[in-house]
Amino acid sequence: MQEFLRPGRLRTQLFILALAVAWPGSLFAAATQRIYDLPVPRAAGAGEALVARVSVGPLKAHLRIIVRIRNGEIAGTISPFGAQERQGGAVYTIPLPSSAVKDGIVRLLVEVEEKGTPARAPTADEVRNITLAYISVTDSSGNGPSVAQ
Amino acid sequence: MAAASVAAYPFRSVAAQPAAKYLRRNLAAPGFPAQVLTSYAKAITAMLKLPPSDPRNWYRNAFVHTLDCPHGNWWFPVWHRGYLGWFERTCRELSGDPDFALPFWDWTALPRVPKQLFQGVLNPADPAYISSYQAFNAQLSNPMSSLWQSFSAAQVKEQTLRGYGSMNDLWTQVQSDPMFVPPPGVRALTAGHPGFDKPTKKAVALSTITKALAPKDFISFGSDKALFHSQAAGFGILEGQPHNNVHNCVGGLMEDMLSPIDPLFFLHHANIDRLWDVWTRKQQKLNLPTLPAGPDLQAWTSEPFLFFHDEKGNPVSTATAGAYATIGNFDYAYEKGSGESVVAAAVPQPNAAPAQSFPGGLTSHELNLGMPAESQVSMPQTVLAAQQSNLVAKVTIQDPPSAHGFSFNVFVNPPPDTPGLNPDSPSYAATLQFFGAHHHEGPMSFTVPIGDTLKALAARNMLKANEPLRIVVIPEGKPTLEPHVAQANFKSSLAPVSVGTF
Repeated sequence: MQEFLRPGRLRTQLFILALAVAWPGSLFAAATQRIYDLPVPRAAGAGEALVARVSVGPLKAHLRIIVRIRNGEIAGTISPFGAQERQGGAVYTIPLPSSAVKDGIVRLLVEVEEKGTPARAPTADEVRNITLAYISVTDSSGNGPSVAQ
Repeated sequence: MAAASVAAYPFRSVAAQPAAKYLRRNLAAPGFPAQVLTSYAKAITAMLKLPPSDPRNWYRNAFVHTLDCPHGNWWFPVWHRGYLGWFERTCRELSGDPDFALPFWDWTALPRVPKQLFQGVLNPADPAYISSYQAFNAQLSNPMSSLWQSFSAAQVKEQTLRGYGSMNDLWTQVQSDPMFVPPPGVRALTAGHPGFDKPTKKAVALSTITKALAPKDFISFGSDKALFHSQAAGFGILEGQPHNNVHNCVGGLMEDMLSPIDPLFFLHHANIDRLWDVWTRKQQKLNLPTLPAGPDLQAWTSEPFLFFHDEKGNPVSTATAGAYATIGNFDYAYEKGSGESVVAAAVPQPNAAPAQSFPGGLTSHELNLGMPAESQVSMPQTVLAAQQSNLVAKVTIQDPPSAHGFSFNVFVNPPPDTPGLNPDSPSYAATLQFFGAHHHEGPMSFTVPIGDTLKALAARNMLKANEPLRIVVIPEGKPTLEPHVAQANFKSSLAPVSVGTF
């Protein structure tokens, strides 16, 4: 796997927050997700698939992190198994559909779901970093599943 | 007590198993024989009744998982293959069914807890199970302490690596997590509401499973490389998506390391093991590696798995990960299930060149900020010409930096003594960086495609026939780092680079 770790641009959402202040009805929406815009480092080569590598810190029990692409479709969910996994933090590979890329950018909408509480944006320690990486895959020319973006 | 030896059973080759003795059936398939679950329930009942001093006791068997299971690393599939394989033999022995094989739960086709698993002892809420933590601790505490006292030095070392210095450490975690969940909380999903939620449905959807089966190499498929099997390094799609999400969506006991108390555990993991088998057969069909490659293979196969027991309750000695690299003498095959289509779709290309790699030597290995380290790789001109667009360099950074803010620029054949090399150079191939420091205590390898760079160099006549490729790595600190801070935090080196198609 080739890691591309030029950190994605974390949009501060100042514009949305400003709107939220002016229009309280949008406050909930503004607080429920964090948006990561990640530049695709290069075009996928033959037999390569683009994935997101999400680095998470220690997470509370019954908490999961849902990663969506720009149209709201779920790309993957980080749901650590067991206390050791929750407490240690780790890096999770999230598969990305081709529709995740637009104009050379992968936009990911990341939210935290905790039992009994509304969805919210992750803290900086819950989601420490998201990067893009290519993995070599059996390609789409009859040699297996098509997953390259 | 006599020790069973895996070595006594020569494991068969990785080739397809047309004549496997046992068939692991799809629980969701029409015509699934009821006898399979009848035998499973009979074995569970017998294991629940065994005294906790017997390693085959239901809870003692679950503790094997607590003490030793790997998660978030490349031993995840193989350890669970061994765990299920020995458990299946125990079920065969105690059920009296000589044909018993674990069924698998194809959650892609059946994204809910199978209704049969709410019946009798297949449901951990059944009265045959221990119903309180106090009773659980009272029954298991002494036998587990005795087990700890019997550990070899190698077993104690494994527990130390896991963070357990004593049996008390383990019980503290069992109670505080909590790992033991009594009724009525044994499962979050109930007979009335057995279905997965939306994120979990996505995690088991065929679109996700297909992506999980797509990687060409074992590590991308089977989770990240680690130094030992109790270290979480990183999660591949198979482990991080369907595996984790199903555990947590089912909830209750399934959410933590005593999850094998729920009989559903073994059906869930049989499906994970089936998907590993599907991936393996796809790889074989495409003449691609089925296990870690190169020097990684030795590190992977020699990892000790020291806590399994056989169907008689005897410890399995001489066990390493390599013993379970294939299904081998467990001698089972799977009925078809979701994801099988990737095998049919895999068509080997008759003209495809076999994977090749060429190890390099080091001209200089010490990495200092702004200063290059270099590895030279000699390879036949014919390979360079024929495989140019497919070539990748395997770059390994020894002792990665322990602080954030450093990166490594990789160049191919840069002009000698060129100051200020940067990503605009035609020699530039990639920039490597690291995630959180706590994950990188050992060497880290990166696969860097260099086809585009070679093409750019060839266009500028910067590729000379019969001269080795020079792979140059230059570390740099973020501009925001104070120079003295950057230097103080930086000490690293480059391992020899290999180039090939791998």
